[in-house]
Amino acid sequence: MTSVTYINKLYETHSQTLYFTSLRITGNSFEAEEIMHDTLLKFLSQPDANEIEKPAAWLKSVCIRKSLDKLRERHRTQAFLEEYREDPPATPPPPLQYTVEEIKGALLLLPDNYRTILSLHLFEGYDYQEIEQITGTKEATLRSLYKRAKEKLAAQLQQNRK
Amino acid sequence: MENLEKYIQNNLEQFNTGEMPVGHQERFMAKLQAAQASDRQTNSTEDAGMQAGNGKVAPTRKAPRLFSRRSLFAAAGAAAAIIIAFFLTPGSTTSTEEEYSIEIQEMAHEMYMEEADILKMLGGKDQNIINSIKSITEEAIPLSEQLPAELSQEKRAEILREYYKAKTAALKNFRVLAYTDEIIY
Repeated sequence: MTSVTYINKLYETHSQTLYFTSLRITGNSFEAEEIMHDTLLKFLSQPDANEIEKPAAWLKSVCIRKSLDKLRERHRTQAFLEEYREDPPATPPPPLQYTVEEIKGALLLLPDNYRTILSLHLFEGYDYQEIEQITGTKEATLRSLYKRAKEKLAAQLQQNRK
Repeated sequence: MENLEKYIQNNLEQFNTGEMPVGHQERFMAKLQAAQASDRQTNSTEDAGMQAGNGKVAPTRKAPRLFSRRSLFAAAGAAAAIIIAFFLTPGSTTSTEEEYSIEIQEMAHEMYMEEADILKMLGGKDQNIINSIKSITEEAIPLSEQLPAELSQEKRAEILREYYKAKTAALKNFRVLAYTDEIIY
């Protein structure tokens, strides 16, 4: 079923979520749009697209994998572990109130490794085992990384407020 | 820290909404058409090889067609409708106005096709060129919305026509630059 109504509905339903999911991982608007487009095109080119039971989950999964591939392409996965080895500065707890826009802005300024773990675990709800399968990073490392990522996000939010 | 985490979890929906780059849907429609055209070309090449019976083309199974021809035309029509709605205000539809709107729609479409081609050629390689291209095609406020309401439809069309002509010409220059870079790489 690839009628124009179907394509438009598919695009309207999923484009925003896919775009922002990819943007949180890649941190790049152009790449996020490309990945969102490629994900939808891939879905439409599936011979059995109509039979995919949960299109949203299928699309999200492909979108996340493509976004991670893009990061790998940019040779940033090396920095993933290197950044992790660095001890982030100790930060005091953040003030209670931040807006969605402030958090979105702070996320984009985080290093890829922190943005990725926050995107997958906090925003997409993947558990550590699933993330281990996707990224190849061990669960124990992911847990520590997530804790540090939250601290880094809090620090970035405070820094942006100054 | 826990508060921040809870706040995000409680407002997840809001993190998936917001402004998206201008023209994103038109660029998608252009890619959709390009994918379909490419698929058609592949199929016709395979058919020609098979028919020639030269033995060099392995009798591979045809790739499944992405979209039916009818849906491609429908998609193109939808893209045209979106662009027309985007750039022209609704009003009376004399044949002259329709001609203008079709011409402008075609020019806008050409611009987005040009952009899609160059970006594909660059493959995300040269961020400076990509940014420059985006600055040409993206508009915070579309020009059609900035034009004074008292302008005649004809005058609006004339301004928009020149506007897209200049943008497309600039993109063509970037195509040359991108092509040259590709050779250098």
